Amino acid sequence: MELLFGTCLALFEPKMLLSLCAGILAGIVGGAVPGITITMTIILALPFTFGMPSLQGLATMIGVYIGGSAGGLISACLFGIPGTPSAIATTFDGFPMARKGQPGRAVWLGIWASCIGGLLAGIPLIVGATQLAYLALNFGPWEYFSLFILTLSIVASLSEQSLVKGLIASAFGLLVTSFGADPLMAIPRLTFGWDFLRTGFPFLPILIGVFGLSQIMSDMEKSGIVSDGPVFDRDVDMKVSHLAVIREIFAQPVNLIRSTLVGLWIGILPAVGGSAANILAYDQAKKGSRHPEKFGTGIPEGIIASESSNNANVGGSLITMMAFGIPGDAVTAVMLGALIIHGIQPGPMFVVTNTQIAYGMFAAYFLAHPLMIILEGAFLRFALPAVRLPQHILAPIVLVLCVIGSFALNNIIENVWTFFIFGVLGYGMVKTGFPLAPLILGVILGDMIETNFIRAIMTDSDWTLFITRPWSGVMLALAVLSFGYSLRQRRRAAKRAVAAAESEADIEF
Amino acid sequence: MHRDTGIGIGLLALCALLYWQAGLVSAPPFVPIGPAFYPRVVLLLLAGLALWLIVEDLLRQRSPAPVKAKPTQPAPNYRRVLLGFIVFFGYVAGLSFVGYPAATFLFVLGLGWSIGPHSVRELLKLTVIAVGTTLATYLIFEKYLYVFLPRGLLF
Repeated sequence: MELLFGTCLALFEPKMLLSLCAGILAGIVGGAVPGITITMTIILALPFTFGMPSLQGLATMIGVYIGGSAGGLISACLFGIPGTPSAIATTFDGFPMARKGQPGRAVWLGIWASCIGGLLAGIPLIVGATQLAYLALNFGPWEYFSLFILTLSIVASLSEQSLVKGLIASAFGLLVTSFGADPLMAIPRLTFGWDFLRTGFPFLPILIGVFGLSQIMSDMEKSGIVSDGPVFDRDVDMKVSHLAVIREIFAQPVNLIRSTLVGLWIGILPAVGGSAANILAYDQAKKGSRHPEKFGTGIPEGIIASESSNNANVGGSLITMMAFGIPGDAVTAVMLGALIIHGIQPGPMFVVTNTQIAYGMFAAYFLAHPLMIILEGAFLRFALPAVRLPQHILAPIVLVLCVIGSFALNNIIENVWTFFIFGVLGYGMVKTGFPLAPLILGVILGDMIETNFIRAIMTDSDWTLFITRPWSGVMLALAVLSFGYSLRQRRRAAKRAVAAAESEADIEF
Repeated sequence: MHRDTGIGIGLLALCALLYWQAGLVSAPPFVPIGPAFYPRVVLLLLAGLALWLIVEDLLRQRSPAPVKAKPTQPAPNYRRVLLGFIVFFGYVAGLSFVGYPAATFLFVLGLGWSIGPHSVRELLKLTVIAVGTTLATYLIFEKYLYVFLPRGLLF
């Protein structure tokens, strides 16, 4: 606790505080602009953190993450367009409430619910990340290998379209990390005689390309401007009684705690993210409500459920990232990349050996929430019209920043080409129904899977140890279960679809 | 040929090429597992999954086609996407030739113009944005953050 307060005080240094505020503000703006996701915002913020000390850079990113998670609700409530996928469910009740003439109430209910949900998730973040990291210290290469396989299997199984496409994306991610020097003996392989590939593909340009370029190109398919929607009235009254709003949130303790727990749990699951958390929390709130028929008409329950869950999701994602070095979502994937750039090895040793930075991240997480309230209030007053930027202005600026982010990694143009190639690949994958998250997770975990796999075999050639060691065996069993469950669900869904099609054909006949 | 079958065949060809390439790596004699071992395991796994994709696609083609719902959204504008990729390719290629400032100015102006509305007012607006973006990013990254941006013939 002392360490937490100590690092909290360090964050009050002007430089730190300024970086945290800049991150939160960037997150709010990025979250509020439809078409720019939190992932994109954090990618754009990345090059600015290269020259900063580790904690300052990470605090900036945490600011972006928290600001972005709350920023998406602004356009969701006022324009009916979720600024980020994690604010989709906020639109269901936030927009109707704003149209009823209560835009201030809709927005501030969301902001305060985000803040309270995020702060509640902060406690499990500190306890969970530390305890899980200590547990992981007892893991050998067999357990690590099984943990990473479990992670990949969960992510591939959760792919919406096709299980085999999710698995192919994961395996392709693993293949990408096979290029260049092998992690144990540093012998180059699959280089085709090209010097650039001797060190393998750099991770960040891949990530920026797959998520950044493919997202912009997908947006470009839509002919109009990104932020079409009802025209925002500059003079709209956003004033509310903050005390009344807070009282309204605390009047629903079950909804608040349930949604926070849903967000936290989804955050802990690798690569699922806030987009699933807010919809699941909204669905649970509706099922648990005494008046489910009122959901979607502009009631506070829906806004509270969605917004408390998406900010709690941030806490959950950080737990997985800090305890195991596994990203909870694309945003924490970028943060992992930033850790490596700053010379910090992610994994369970991170919390143990970099205590100051780990606790600094906890402190930044807590501090960012009240700061988010202040900055979001200022944003609503002064900068709201800026969220309606047309795409032909937004896209080139975003792409320029993506190029700088890729180039600045080690000042070589090949990184920009990597960004371009993986951007084209990412767009192609989106168009052919291949999910992007398993690919990125494969790229992040590839080296660690290989290292632990080879280490396990070199330590003891007995393959059965992967199954007979308790933790390793349990995790592999869970991986098989998750895979089997997903396969069964998809078969049942396919059967239902065929039955529905047949009954429809009968009716037509 | 169906799209997924084509992708599966392409993946199989890629796996075969990389499997052969992995065999060219010389393994040190004193370790039981060489550097080619892991890539080959991944390639075999990927090839197996590619076969699964092909089989799944062929089976889907045999089963009765589901009733297609009418599209509710307008068709994607692939012309804009293609233009976007071409202009962006030109930008990346141009960075090393003309340098960051000139390439960035031309890129922001070119992409904005090619996907946006065409009018003199819009051109003026885009020119101001192109100059502003180039100057702001150049000053912030080169002068403040010491990130050295690509140099070329013009700068």
